[in-house]
Amino acid sequence: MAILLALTVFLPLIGALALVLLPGLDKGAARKIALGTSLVTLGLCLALLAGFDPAVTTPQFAAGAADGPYGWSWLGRPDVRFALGLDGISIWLFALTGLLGVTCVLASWESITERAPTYYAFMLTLEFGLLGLFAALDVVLFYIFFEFTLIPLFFIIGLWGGPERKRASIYFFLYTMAGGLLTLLGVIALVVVHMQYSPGHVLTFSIPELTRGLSALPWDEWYRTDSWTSPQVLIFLLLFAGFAIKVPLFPFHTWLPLAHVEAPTAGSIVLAGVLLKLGSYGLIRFNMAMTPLATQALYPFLAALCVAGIIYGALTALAQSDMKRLVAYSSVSHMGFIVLGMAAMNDTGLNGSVIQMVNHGLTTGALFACVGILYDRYHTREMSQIGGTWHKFPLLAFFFIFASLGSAALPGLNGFVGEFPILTATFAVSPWTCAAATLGMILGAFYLLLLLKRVVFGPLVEPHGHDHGDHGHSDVPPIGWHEVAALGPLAALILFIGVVPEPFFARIRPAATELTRVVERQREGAARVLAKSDSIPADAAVSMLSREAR
Amino acid sequence: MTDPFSIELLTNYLLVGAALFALGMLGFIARRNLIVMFLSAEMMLQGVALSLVAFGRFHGNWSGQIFTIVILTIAACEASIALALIVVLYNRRSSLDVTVWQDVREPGIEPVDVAAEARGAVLATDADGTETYPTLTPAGVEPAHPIRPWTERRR
Amino acid sequence: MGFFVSNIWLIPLLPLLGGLTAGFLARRIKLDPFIPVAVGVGLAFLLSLGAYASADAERSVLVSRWIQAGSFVVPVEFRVDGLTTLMLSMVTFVSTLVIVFASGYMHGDPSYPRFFAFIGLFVFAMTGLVLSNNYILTYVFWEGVGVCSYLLIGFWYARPAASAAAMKAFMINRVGDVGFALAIFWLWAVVPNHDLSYQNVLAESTLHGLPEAAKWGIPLLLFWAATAKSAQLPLYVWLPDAMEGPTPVSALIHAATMVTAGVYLIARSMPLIALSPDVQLLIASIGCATALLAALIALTQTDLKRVMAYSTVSQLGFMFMGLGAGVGSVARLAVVAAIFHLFTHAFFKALLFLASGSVMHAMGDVIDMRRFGGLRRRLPYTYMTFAVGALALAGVFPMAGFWSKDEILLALESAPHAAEEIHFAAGWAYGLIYWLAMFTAFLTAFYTFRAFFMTFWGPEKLPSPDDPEAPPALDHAHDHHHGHDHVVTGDAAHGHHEVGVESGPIMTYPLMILAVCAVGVGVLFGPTHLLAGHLEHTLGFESLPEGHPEFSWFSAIVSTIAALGGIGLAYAMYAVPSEAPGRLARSLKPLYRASMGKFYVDELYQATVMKLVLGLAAASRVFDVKVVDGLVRGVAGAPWAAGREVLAKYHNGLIQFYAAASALSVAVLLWLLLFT
Repeated sequence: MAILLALTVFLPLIGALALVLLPGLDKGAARKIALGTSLVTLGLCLALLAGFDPAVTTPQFAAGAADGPYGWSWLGRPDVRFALGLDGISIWLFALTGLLGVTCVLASWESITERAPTYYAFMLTLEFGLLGLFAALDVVLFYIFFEFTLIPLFFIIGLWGGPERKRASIYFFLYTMAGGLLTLLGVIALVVVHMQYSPGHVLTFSIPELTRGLSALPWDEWYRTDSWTSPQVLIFLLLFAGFAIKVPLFPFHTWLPLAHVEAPTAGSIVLAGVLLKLGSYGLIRFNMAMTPLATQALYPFLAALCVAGIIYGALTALAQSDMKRLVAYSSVSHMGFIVLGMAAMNDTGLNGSVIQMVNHGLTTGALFACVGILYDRYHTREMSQIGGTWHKFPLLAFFFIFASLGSAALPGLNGFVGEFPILTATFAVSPWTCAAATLGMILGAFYLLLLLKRVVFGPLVEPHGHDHGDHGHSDVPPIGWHEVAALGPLAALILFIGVVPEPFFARIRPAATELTRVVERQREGAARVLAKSDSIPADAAVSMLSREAR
Repeated sequence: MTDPFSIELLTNYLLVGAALFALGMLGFIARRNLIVMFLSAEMMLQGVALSLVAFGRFHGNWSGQIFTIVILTIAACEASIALALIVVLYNRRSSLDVTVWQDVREPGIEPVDVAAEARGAVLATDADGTETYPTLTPAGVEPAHPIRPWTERRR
Repeated sequence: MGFFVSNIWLIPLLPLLGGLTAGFLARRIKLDPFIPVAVGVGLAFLLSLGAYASADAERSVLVSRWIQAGSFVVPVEFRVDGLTTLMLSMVTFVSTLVIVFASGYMHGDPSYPRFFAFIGLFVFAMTGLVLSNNYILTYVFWEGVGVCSYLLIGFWYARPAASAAAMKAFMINRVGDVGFALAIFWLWAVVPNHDLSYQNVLAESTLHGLPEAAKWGIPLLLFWAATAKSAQLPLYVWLPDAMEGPTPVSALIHAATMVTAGVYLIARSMPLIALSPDVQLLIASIGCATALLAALIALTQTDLKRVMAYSTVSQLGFMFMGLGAGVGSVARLAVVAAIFHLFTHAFFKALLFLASGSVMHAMGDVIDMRRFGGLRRRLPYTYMTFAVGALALAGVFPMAGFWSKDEILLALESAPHAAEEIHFAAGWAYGLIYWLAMFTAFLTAFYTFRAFFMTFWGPEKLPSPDDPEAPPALDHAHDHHHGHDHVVTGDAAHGHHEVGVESGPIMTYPLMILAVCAVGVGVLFGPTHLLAGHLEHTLGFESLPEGHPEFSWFSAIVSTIAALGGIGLAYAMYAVPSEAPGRLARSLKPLYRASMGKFYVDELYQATVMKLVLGLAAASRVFDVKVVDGLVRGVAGAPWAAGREVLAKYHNGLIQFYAAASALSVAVLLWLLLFT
């Protein structure tokens, strides 16, 4: 199975190489190869999903001996290993990447005409990077994939984007990389701290091993979170820098609307659908799992950023006239919910956050696809110029309403099963935070319905350039099969997760429980340190105790 | 048996080496004639080489010598390249003054007019009266010479 | 457990299947889309009757475990007790009749299948709402009915007014939903085992174990939720606008069933609500204020459907007055009264709406009462049934409305005394509310019969386009234009019906059945204590104090006088065209104009809340570009500026300068290394 996982990760890269190396490919052949590759990748993802054992909490499909390190030896000394594996948290993001890979190819089907082979090669390379990231069990591998994903997206935005594509791609690249470097520093610090203080001074880069080791580090200083310069807090902040930009949390979000607006439709889909999850996934894997005490101590700070992002993102979305920009800001708002849920650090919040990551990928992906369909036809995203599209594209209206309602967390659709546990968990930790976050529920519905009201409902409005007499625009093509094929699975999943979430939760739950157990071990460490020393001042003691104890 | 090459002896060598290096450095910084600057750089190299040989002798091994041989080899190659470059540069501007080459500077920064004093100098052939002899140019001042394209002068 | 209880899940499922068939399949298999929905809902009604017979306070059926996110568990569990089965039977019965009516009313609309698909979906959600056995599941269906309402108000999507009304309805309901959601989060945090099922939350041990703040906080939040769904102050403004939807929708969703969900929720949570008499008084006061305000607005409206909409708001206010009156020993009496009124109101209000729809259908979609009149000869069935409904709404003996309203008044009458028993100091307020309720009853009778007389009495008059009261032709011309298009934009679309002719039997039969109910259900269920007896099989109700339900001759007589007075006044002013209404309007001009302008509540919202939100939105948009993005650019620009302004000067191209600088640096380094 380990080979199968590696194959799944590398298959898109093989497809991309084929696209680049095969001579004389035209648009038609290139997109067929890309579709074929992404479909096979999706098939392999589904096979992995089928073979995934919900009861096992350790990474699955990983190579390596039962009690030895995971993966294949790679750099030798230091022992950086090529270790891939999936657990209940990553498997869903992994599968989501596989699905959105197909969606992206289909969403680019007609709209990409120039240099198509290169474009699809970049798309597939990006998919390779994302799959690798979610499967990586080694911090170095993780970081390489984390930064690697920037490169194909940089070119996708920079070469096939809108009029301001150059500025957008550079802005996006530099901003996220600047954060990434701080994260690298944090990751190195984790490895070094582990080597320095773990019994036996093991130099390991394995994520599971680090998580385990750091939760039981025989170093008292590690469990102190009473000052900004205590090691755990510092490392938390370093890690946080890169992930918060990637998520993006308010106020690190400004790259997102720009990148979204300039990116081609498929770029937006994969950016919102998967790339943002790198941030939240990293937060779970590193900040929550390895520096939980700092996460807990900084909860007010985290929660404030999330709530500010939720409300501010929603308000800003409300004021946009550009559809894509609106959806982009809605992402800021929704990602705030996701981080808020995991910051609560109990199993309810974690479960909600993980499923909400998948949900957000689906609904936002679908919304971007809908906007892209309209853009392909009218070459504008201004809401004032498009209206009443229900008349012309009833099917699109159906998908649009469906995705919007899913995004607005309507029960029975997917947003609800994520958002409600998140808010419930938040209320248990901090009622006023939750109350403020629920404002986001109202505003969220507001901007989405406003979008629907302007674009889908009302009398038919089309841009002036397209006016051709009474019956409007006979030249506007109807919704094609590839667009239905792109949106259909997303809509189906939006409904499916909403109605039957249990298969998803069944696999997330054990992993989330495992994570809370790690957190618990660190809290025990903190309590032990507290018991040992009377010299720690009272306020430090408070921040070291678990909130439940408070 | 004690080594006749004592630490005092080494100090002497080192002092000479350091003096050579310092003089070379001063020359490199102060002189503007490209050839003189190049010679100054060579002098710095020799200062270092002398110190290395002395160290080698002091420690009783050959590494200082080996280093010096390598330096000499490199210096020879370097000299040929440097002189070729100087010829090319001279051919471009008909001047060996290093300050005529300020092109690699930040855009918007004015070139430094080091050669302002040279404008007052009088061409040797134009001067009437008693015969004059070439004198050493004061450091940092361009020597007075007719500025003509080299192609003309070659004829 | 019998067949009906163990298969209770069929009740929501059948309408859903019907709706899905109507939406996706019916056209393909050449089936009239209304048939699967009507069959599904009709069968659900029969099953509901079965469940009604086997209701029991402790009976619940686990269907599946739906969400298990950590400790957040939501099972799909249905409760089969008195309140649930009563609501179920009422909902499915009225729905069946409305669907039959709609099959005639909506005939010829190009979106006919979509309409029935949505209706099926709605009945699914509504039955689910009353069946669900925990707060979260109730919330799920609560939002579900909200979205059905959204989709049905916006049914004629091309009409800007419809899409605006749909959005308004959804938004205001969302505001209420947040209250509900917060109540759920709070409950989750405080109840044992995080189990939000009704039997756990409403158990006495749980209620006693609640923290003090939760004892009034959660009821308040639940009431907040109810004010949005059941259109109470300050969140009632969406309901009148919801009349943009097709009339059968108004009858079913915005009069008979969905809007009573708030009343249902409060009644269901009565043991919890009863923990805080302050909140109960608030509920009664809000109910009273809403009832009065809506009745005052209804006095001057000229749109027949809008009069009915405001009367719905007003009657919902009555129900909340009843619920709020349940302090101390009158608790059970008050809840039963409110539910009884909910029950009877569903029949006569559905009847009135459908009759209005019938009028509208016959008048070619004109609904302004000034443009038609004297229709009693042309529309005899509609006329008769409307009369029955109006009498019931006015609360005239022995119609349904009389009995239920009387019980609410009785509860209000005994509330001050009960409040005294539990030492609740503000109990005197109930006395005030009682008299205001009486006054509202008078107004109700007046405006109902004003509408009745204006529509059916006086000289016959049919709408004509050159009527001075006709609205500026813009809107209609627009509709008409699109009517020829493949797009259909309004009631105007099904304009095959000849103007001024009574609707067909498929529309009049449901009216007649409802009329019979509007006469009968009151006397059948009220004085016989059938309803009260049935509601005893409701979870938590047996623990409520029983009180002393005695028929109050005083209330009955005073309310009858009020009702007859209202009818009489309306007769005097509107039965024959006279100058009286105009004179009265002129003499009370400010009041008249305020009522006509709906007391400018919408404008108030526009000027405050909307302006604030949109202003904040615009501000954050600017803030984002100028400040947040500006900061990022500033940080990114800092190294660039440092190079440009400071370091660039030293990059002068002078090789000797560089040499000197590096020599100096080496010297400094050496000095640092050797001498410090």
